[in-house]
Amino acid sequence: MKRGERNKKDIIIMCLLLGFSYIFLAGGQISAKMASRTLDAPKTVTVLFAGGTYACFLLRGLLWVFLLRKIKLVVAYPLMSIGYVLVLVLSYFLFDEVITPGKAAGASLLVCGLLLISMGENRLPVKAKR
Amino acid sequence: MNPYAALLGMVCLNTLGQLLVKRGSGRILTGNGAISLVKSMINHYLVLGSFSVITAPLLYMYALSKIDLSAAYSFSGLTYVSVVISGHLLLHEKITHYHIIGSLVILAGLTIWNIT
Repeated sequence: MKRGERNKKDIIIMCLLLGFSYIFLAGGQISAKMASRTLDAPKTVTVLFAGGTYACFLLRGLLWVFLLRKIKLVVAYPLMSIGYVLVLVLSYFLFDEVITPGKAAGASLLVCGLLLISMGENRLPVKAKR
Repeated sequence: MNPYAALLGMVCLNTLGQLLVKRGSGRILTGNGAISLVKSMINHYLVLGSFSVITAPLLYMYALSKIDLSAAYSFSGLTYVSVVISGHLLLHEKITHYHIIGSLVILAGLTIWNIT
């Protein structure tokens, strides 16, 4: 009973952390693009966006280091690969970029490739794992 | 500089960073208190690794000033491939057929994403 409750709590915390990792991914990509777009603007603006990019990259990295201790790589890789779809959608809505069939197909292939690699990691004997 | 060259440079730096951090993390001493932990973290692998992790986003932002975000972001997929290859060649990590096929699929996806 107690163990079940604890697992539930763990799962909720995981999902929250995962949600934050996507927020930092989106934030990092948006501020990186903004930094490169504001090169003509006052320097402080560019520096702020660049700083935001670093902060988001760092926080996302730290979150994943923590998450990878708790979830298996075979689950983590597909979760990471959702990022490709997320960035495509973001660039469409925020930066007016077009989603061509090629981009959609390429993103699907990237997701498949990551799935395959994660399956490969899962097949390695435990000793050979990191 | 060509934006795609910058992206390839970013991939190389990220891969190098991963390899160095992996190498350096084996030298971290835990269990002997905070001071020895911090001291063991300042080894040249980890310092060089952090350096390459810090410079990579600069190249990325440079590339973004020339090309679309959706195009540039696809190149982060290449990092997975280069980490698998270099991890196998340099750190002698075991790989399976899944890794090879997965890497080829990622390369194909990257090509289709950027050429069309």
